[in-house]
This record gives sequence, structure tokens and C-alpha cells, in this order.
Amino acid sequence: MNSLKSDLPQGTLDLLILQIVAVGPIHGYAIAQRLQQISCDVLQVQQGSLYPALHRLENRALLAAEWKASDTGRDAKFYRLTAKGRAQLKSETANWARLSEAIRLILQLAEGGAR
Amino acid sequence: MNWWQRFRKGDQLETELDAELRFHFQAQMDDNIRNGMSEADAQRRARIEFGGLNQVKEDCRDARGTRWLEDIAQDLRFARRLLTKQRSFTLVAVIVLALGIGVNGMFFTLVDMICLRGLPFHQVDRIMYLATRDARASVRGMSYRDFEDVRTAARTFTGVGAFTAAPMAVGDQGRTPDRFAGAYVSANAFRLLGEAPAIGRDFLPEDDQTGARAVVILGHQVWKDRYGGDPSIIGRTIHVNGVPTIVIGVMPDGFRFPNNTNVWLPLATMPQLADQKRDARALAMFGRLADGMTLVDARAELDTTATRLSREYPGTNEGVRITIVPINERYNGNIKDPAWLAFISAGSLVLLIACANVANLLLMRSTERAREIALRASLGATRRRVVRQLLAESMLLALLGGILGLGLSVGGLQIVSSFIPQDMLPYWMDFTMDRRIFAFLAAICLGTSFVFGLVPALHLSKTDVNGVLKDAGPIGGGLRARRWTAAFLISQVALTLLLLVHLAFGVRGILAEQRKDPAIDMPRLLTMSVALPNQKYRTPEMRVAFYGRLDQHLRGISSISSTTIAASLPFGGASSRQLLIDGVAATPGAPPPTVWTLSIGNRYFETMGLPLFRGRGFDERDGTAGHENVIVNQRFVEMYFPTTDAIGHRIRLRSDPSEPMTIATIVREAIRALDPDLPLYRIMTMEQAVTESRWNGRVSNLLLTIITFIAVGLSAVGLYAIASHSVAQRTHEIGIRMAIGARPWQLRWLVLRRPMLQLGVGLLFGVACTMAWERVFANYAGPAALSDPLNVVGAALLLVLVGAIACLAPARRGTRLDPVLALRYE
Repeated sequence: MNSLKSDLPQGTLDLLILQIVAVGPIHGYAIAQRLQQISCDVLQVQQGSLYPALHRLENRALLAAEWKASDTGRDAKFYRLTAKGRAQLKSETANWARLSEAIRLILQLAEGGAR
Repeated sequence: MNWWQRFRKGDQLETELDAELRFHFQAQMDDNIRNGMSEADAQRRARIEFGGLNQVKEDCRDARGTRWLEDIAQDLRFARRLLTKQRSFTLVAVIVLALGIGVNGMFFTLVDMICLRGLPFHQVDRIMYLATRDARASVRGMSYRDFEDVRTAARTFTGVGAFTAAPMAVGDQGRTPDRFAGAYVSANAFRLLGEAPAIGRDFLPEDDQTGARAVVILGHQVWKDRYGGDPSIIGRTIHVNGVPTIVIGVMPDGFRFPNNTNVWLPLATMPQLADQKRDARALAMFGRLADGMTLVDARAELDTTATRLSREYPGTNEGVRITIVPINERYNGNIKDPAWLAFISAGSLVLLIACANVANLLLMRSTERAREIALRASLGATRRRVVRQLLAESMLLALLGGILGLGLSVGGLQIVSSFIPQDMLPYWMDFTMDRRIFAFLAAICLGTSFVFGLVPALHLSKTDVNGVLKDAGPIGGGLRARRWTAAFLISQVALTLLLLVHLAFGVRGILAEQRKDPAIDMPRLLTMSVALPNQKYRTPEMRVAFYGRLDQHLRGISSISSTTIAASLPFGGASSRQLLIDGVAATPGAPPPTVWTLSIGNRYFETMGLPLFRGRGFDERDGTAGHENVIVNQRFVEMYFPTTDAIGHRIRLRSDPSEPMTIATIVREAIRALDPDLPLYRIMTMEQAVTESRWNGRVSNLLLTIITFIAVGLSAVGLYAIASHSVAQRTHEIGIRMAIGARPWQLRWLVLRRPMLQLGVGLLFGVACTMAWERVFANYAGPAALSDPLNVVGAALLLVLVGAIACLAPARRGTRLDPVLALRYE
């Protein structure tokens, strides 16, 4: 996970999930909805890959889960961020910022070179 | 939750996963309906968006990270079902493995307790055992004077201590005295070992001085048995060797160093210690290395000391070196001893035979399983997966075998321990299994499951899917399988023959030993030992007087027909003396010849039932001043008086200066002084038994017998399996042959041909193995060579007989088949 090169796509999804969950306890379906809303359909997140990612994060103790009644009254599995998850979110966000800044710079340089 | 918990809660996780995904799906559908879709459309749409439900579930399961474990669990579950279904196969395989594993568990425990475990002291590898080696390279202990000099010079040790074993008589007013194994120890001995009395105090330097107030430290057992564990024993005065002595301490339970000792006195209170010469080397000496010092430093220092001593005391210390070894090396059995190596290799052989056997059984079963495996392969199981599943079966078998084997080795150890007289082994060698042994057993379980499981598994996993599934006819286990089984069986028969030859060799050795007429009327002889403490019976005269009184007493008892007294029991040891013959000049330069001597009382030969060849026996006068007489045996006459009549010749017997002190001090005074300390001999033998690994007697034969019979049994199982398999495979063929009129003996031969051929080849290989073994370990001494024709032929005949019996049932089954059924059989 620390390697930025190889795990980028997976790490990105994990990062987005952590960010969404950080707001407050939320169940899987709502996470999927939020993902779609936020990304304004730019990001096509396969719903199928959401759950394995959630479970992976839960197993790594970045998320904790609990069964509660949802708005519709049906029981749903609500995820929330653990302390470890919060720390991970922070460092991942910083990582991401650094990475995107670096990429932006490289692209700028390349643009300047082309000019 | 860690992966183990996740694995344990797999079912719960599965339900939750299902509920979670169902909720998602439902919510999606609800939303779709809210957006105006019909219910059918909403459902369809939700399905499309969500993707394959089962695929998502699988991905989630993978995310758990317990997949490998689940696979193993599944393999094991399947294996268990299979093994319970084929009960007789499982039973045979498990018993076979249990025998192999059990024997090895037992042997490893013995090796561990005698050769590896070592003394139970704190940082025992820092404790060194010191001894001397004289110019003739014979190993001796330390003399008291040398000990004192070494102790004074020691810089590389935190301390140097000494001890010597001696039986001790413990008495109290008005109670029968008890005899215990005891030891005289230097005051620092316990501290150096890292031990201290459980109650009371340790010896102090002032206790360990001549003329000091007599004090004693008791062992836990004496304290419990004789004094009822009464703590007020401390400070009480008891009689030790007839001397009033104050009890100052009780050692903790489980401390009986050095010789299963129960009573300890300060070294300085040993009788005549101060008068001992520098060459009376009977003390055992040890030291604990000082911090930062190594064996090499200590050795250098001891070399310097030894050189100085031999310069200062050339008369006694010329060429005497001081040797040093870690104390464990001194007391542990040597694992490189041929006896141990033989046991270890025999144990491994049995395990290999067991493995070969189970591999054979598995290979035979592979015929029946080829179709199942082919089906699995066609459904997408990789070869690795198939091998893994088959190995899981092997592992389960090995596990069951291991558990049963553990029980067998515990039982075996109990039998072995019952063969060893009590207190024969040092107290720290007990027949217990520790963690190391369990680890070893687990390792051999795992190891064997690979050894016997891998070949059949690899073989089976190579099954040709198309061929097997298409072909409805009988599935030949294939030539390959048959070649493997043949190789296994042949090597097994060969190894068994090797073991049998060994057993025959051992048994014949024992028989030859027994045939040697001991010349003694053993069954009616009763022996007893008594030790007279030096403190009380200071002079030989006092001892002789005691024995005289004892003798008189015993003669008064009507149920005893004859009594005698000797320094030691027949075959129980003797002391060596230097021999000088009057009128025969000693060869200059060479030391005089030594002879074994035994001090005996009157009527010794009469009591033993040994008639004298010539001359007369001892009478009351013999041994007193002016009547120094000696009785010699025929061998002595042949050696020293080959031409003249020995009777009436004068000889001189001198005590060997290198003889251990305890005997030397007694024998020095007078030739006929009796040494009653039989227990002393035994204790010394016991001490030596540890290092010399004296396991060549009944115990080693017991072990050899056990493993050989196991091997024979295993061979029988192997042959039985082959014969049964042969019948099963040829049922169709037998049916045809019957139908066209084959005679029963022809059918029998058909079935027996293969096992008998393999048996024959195995026997040939076994003979070759025996020859090779004899060449490699050419240290056999016995009435005949190991590969003596009688041994080999006898062993081979036994194996053929066992093999024939094992094949009998399958052969009969073959001839009694119903031809109609046999033809339909597939």
C-alpha cells in the first residue's frame, strides 16, 4: 500500500471510500450513491468492486462495521472510520496531494518543453 | 478480527455478506421503482448495475484472506470422509504409521534423556569437569593435594569444587540405620552448581576443615522418608557413619547430584583424606568458568598448573595432564557411540519401512481413485490442487498415526524403564517427554506424510483424464504404480531381513553367553551387601572382626546351608594388583603384570558350588599374619606357571598405584583385608554406565526385538496388500481363466507370483545389504559373523514363512471367486 506506483487504482478507491465514510456511519449502498454523486458520473465505480474493497478495509481495521436499522427500516451494515482508518486517510490524502502535485508539475514541464 | 477469527466465524460472515448485498440490491430496486420503473424493470436494472452477485461474493470472500485455510479445511474434511469410509485401509495405515512413529518417539526420548538433555543446572555449559590423564594415557580423577593446588591457582574459574561418592549409614538413637548413596563434597560445590538447600544452610568453608564440627546436608527423600519431612530436623544431631553429626540443611526435591546422592558431608571429613598421597586420584573435580572466560582460557591455565606440578612433584605427577570438558560431556551418553548409532539407524529404518508400506497402500488405492481424480481434473482442479488434496489425506493419516504412536512410545518407554534397575540411571535422566520430543514427533508426522504421500499423490495427479473417463474397463493402476509398489516392497523386505539378521546375531550372542557355564549354582544363592563406614571401622582388624561375628551369626541360622563373604559379587567386579613372582625377575623397564584379585571369606567356593581343582580352600587361619595364602585359577597357572607346579610358590601382590583411592586405602594395609563396599562398586559402575552407555545388555536386545518384530509385521502387511491388490486387479482375468478351466493351483500361482517374486528379490537385496552393513560397521564381536549363513538363512526362512501366511488369505480368495461374478466384475 505504501508503494505509490503499483497500487494506484486500488488505493484510489480505498481513499475515496475512506473519505466518504469519514463524514459519518454509512452503509454500502449509500457509499455507492455518494461515489456516483460526487464524481458526477466521471468515475465509473463498478459496484461489484465496492464490497470487496469495503471488506478489505474492514479486515485491515481501517473501518469498523455495525448492523443498524437504515432509513427504510431495513437492517444495514454501517461502516465508520476507526482511529487507524483516520490516520490512514490523512496520510493517504497527503500522499495523493503530493503525487498529483508532482504529476501536475511534470505535465506543466512537458507542456513548457513542447511549447 | 484477525484471519484466524475470520476463519472461525466463516459461517457468520457468510450470512452477513449475503444480508449486506441483499440490502444493497433491495435499496437499488426501491430507488429504481421510485424513479418510475416497473418492478420487473427495477429488478433487471439493479441486476445489471450490480453485476454478478456470486462473483461479488467470491471477491468478498477472497478479501477475507482466509481462502487458503478454507481450502485446507475442505481438503481435510474430504480426507476425513474418505478415511472413515474406507475403515480397514485407514486402520492398517494408521497402525503401520503408529508403529513407525512410536518406535522413533521412544528412541528419540531415550537419546534425548541420555545423550542430549544434560544436567539440570543453571548455565550448565559453563560448568567444567576436570580430570587427569597420566603418562600411560589412562584417565584418572584428582588427588586431594592436586585439587588443592589447582584450586589455589584457578583464575579462570569462579570456583573449583570436588566430590567423591561413598555410601553413608544414617542412624538415630533407637532406630534401624539406613544406608544411602552419599557424597563428600567441597563446601562450595552446591554454590558452583547454582543450587542451595531448600531449608537450612549450605556448607561453609569452616565446615570443610579437618576437626570442624561434623555437619551433614540431607537429600529431600531422606528427609521425607526417614524424618517425615519435619522442618525441625535442622540443628538436630544424627549419626552419620557412626559419628554424631548436626543436620544443617535439606536439599530441594530433585537434587541428587552426583550419584543419586541422598546425603552430603564436607569433603574434609572424608576419612584419611589428609594423609592421602598426591597420586591417590579418586576425587571428581569441577569448576564454573568465570565471566568472560572460555574453555580455551581454562585449558591454558590448567596446562600451566599441571606443568608446574609435574616439575615440583616429579615422583607422582610426571607426565600427568589435567583434562577439562563441559560437565554435560562427562555425564551424557555419547551419541556417536556405535550402540546409539545402531539404534537411531534401526529406528529410521523402521520408519522408512512404515512409510513405504503406507505409500504402497495408497498407490494400490490409486487404482480405485483414478476416476475420481480424473473427474476433478476435468472440472478444473489444477495438478497442484489435486496433489494438495491427496497430501491432506496423508497428513491426516500421519496425524492419527502420530497420536497412536505417541501412546505406543509412552508404553514402550514404560517397558524399557521397567527393565532398568532403579537408581541405575542418574536422577536427571527420567523417562519423560518434553516439548522437544513433541516437536520431534510432530516433525516426523509431517515429514512422513510427505515421504509416503508424495509419490502416490504425484502419481495419481498425473492421471490421464481422457483415458480414464472414456475407458469403462478396469483401470490398471498402471505399470508406473506397480513399479513403485514393487520398489517399495523389495526395499522393505531387504531392510527387514537386515534387522532380522541383526536380531539373530544378538540372540545367538546371548545364547552363547548363557551356554558358557557360569559354574555357579545361581538359583539358590542369595546375595546381600553391607558397607562398613571407615569412620567406625577404622582398621582392617575391626572389619575382619565384624565379618567374623557376622559369619558366626549367619551360620547359626538353620535355613542357610552355607555363607561366605567377598569383596564383590561374582561378575560384580574385582580389583587389579601388580603381580611379582618370587624367583622370577621382573622385566626391567616394563611395569609388572597386573592380575584381577578378589578378597573372599571362608567357604567361598563351597558356597558357590565350585569344587577346587587342586589344593585346599581357605580356612580360619588363612590371611592372618604368617598365613598369607592365595588361590589362583587355571588361567593364572597357564600364564605364569606353565611348566612348574604353582602350589606352594610365593607371589607378591602390590596394589596398583593408579587404582582408585577408596579401594587402594583398604587393600594397602593387608592383602586379605576385606573390602565390603559392594555398593561402592555399584555406584561406580552406575557412574560409568552413563558415559559408557552400557545399553548392550537386556535393554538393547529388548529394543532390537521390538523393532525387528515391528518390521516383520510391516513386511507381512506389505505382502498382504500386494497379494490382495493382485487379486482385485485380476478378478476379471481370474474369471476368464476359471471359465476356461484353470486349476486352483494355477490361479493361486497367478495371485502369488508377484508378491513371491518381490519377496525373493527383496531377500536377495537384504543379503547384499547385510554384507554391506557388516563391511561398513565392522566392529562386531561375537561367536559368529553378522552375515553368518545360519543368521541369514534363518531370517530369510522366517520372512518367507510370514510372507506365505500373509498371502494365504488373498490367494484363497482368488481361487474361490465365483466365475460368473468375476467376469462381470469391473
